[in-house]
Amino acid sequence: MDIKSLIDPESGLIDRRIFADREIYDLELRQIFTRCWLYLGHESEVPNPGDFTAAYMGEEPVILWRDLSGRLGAYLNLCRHRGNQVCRADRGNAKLLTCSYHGWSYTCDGKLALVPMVDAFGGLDREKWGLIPVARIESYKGLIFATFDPQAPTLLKYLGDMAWYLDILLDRRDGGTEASGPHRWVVEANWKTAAENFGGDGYHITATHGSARELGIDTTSSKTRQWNKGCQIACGNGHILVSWITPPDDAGPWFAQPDERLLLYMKEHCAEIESRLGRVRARQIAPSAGTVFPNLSVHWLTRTIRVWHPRGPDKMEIWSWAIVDKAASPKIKDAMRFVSQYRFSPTGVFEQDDMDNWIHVTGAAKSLIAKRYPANYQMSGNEPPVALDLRGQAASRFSDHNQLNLYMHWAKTLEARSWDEITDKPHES
Amino acid sequence: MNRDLRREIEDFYYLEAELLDGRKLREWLELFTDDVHYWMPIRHNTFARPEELCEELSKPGESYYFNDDKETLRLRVERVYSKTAWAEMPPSRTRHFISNIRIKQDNGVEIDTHSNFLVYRTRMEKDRDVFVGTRQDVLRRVNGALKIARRTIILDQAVLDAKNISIFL
Repeated sequence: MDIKSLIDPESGLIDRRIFADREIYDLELRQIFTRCWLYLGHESEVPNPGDFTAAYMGEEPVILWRDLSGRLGAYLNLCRHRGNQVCRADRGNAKLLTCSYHGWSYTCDGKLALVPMVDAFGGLDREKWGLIPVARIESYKGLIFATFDPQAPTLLKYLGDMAWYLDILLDRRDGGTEASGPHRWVVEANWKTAAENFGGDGYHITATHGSARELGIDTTSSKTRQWNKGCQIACGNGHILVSWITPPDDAGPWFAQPDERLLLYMKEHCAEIESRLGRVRARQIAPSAGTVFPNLSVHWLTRTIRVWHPRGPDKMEIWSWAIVDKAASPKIKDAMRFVSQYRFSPTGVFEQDDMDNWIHVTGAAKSLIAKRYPANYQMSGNEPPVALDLRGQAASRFSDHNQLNLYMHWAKTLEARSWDEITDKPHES
Repeated sequence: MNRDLRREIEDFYYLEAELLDGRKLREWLELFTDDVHYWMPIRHNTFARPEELCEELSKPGESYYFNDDKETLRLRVERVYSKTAWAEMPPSRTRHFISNIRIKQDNGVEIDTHSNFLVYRTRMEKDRDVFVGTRQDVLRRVNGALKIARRTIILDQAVLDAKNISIFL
């Protein structure tokens, strides 16, 4: 299949097959989900030696496990003997996990420690039969990622300019952040419908989420909404986000807070926040939502991160966490979690309204007739360019610039044989 | 246990189910005290001992499905009436089955009850979800009538097999 022909950025047309075709999906699993850096969990979920948490990399179940020396590892959740799942809990603490089938046991550094009746194997080399590790595991400010590809660039290089924006969520206060969750739920929609939506779709808010706004529930302050300026930003490597621009008469890290308690909290700590983030990120922009390619999305304003786990061409499993400043008081943390989960979670008054849109977009991609008609990504935007010193490539907020950028990178990754072909050149600043 | 109280509590839950299934959500909201705490934890599979089921549930300070007071519940209810709350437009059809009602404690002011629920939801052409779990309530008499002062909803599923919970369980 000629993947690039599915995406036509010049005319702004995308072939619907990308949302439901089995052959394309299988290619995604192989070319994207066994090569790219994928989000596993937050360091606060596995703080102590022996702590583990279940995760997925694409459809592959993995165990994120901290060893006794404090080092993080991630392993396929399967026993090397016959392939039974070696850990059936979602989280916990264990120095040793024992397979329920024949009792092979693995220590928290992934090594095979114990094989019942080992003599009957005629000299089994336990060193060779440890849990299957990921190729690389690295953290960025609390977020733990892994890749199955030893050739992948470093995580920092992979994130590129996106790291600069992630700091606005992760690096506001001394001590960083902590995560709670995950919510886990299953939706009959292709994973890209969500990745695309979070990556820049400011356009859908009024139609999809009007009911929440009607009742005064929002994701940012009324001042920011009235000022009503923003932009899309493409960071390279398929990472994209959409950001508000600060109203100048209210410039500070508090300006985008949708809750009075958090506004006061940000005012109280604005000197620390600005000293860590600098003027532009603390006073001039406030990212709302974005996607770290391929399937980690972030909502800065309501402090949620989530992974769109692929579960077939027309299905995904969503894992979603709330992220709070570690240095905040318990009451402020509660307020942050409430802002997050009241809006974004299976019960969230924003998020619950997104699902049918994505389900039906996926459904259209199965229609023989609808497939003759491409999807429209022709919104080119008409807002004036922003005059700020931002990383990445800024474009009109209400446009399909980010979405096309995402799908061009997606197509490139599906076809690329090596990382040299995949990785964008770093942005010159 | 007082048979009249038992019958009164059963009737109360059946009335609540009727209001929910009849989509009389504003009336349903009146069944709660003004200081209600409406809490629904998320859950995880753990290696806990069989009797330590609560170890599976998220605690205060962690994530949850619901952590509402009367006002945030009211906003959820009012949102459904706004016509563009798309998760409920067209609205879900629900059927609440409440059973295994147990009066755990009655101190004369508040009554602790446990009950099981099975909620069958259908919507649009093919949506179909089953939510099963237990409710742990604290009921309080206000001007003679029973009201819900605290509700904890514990869903049996760990991974929610539904696109959302846009209804009340």
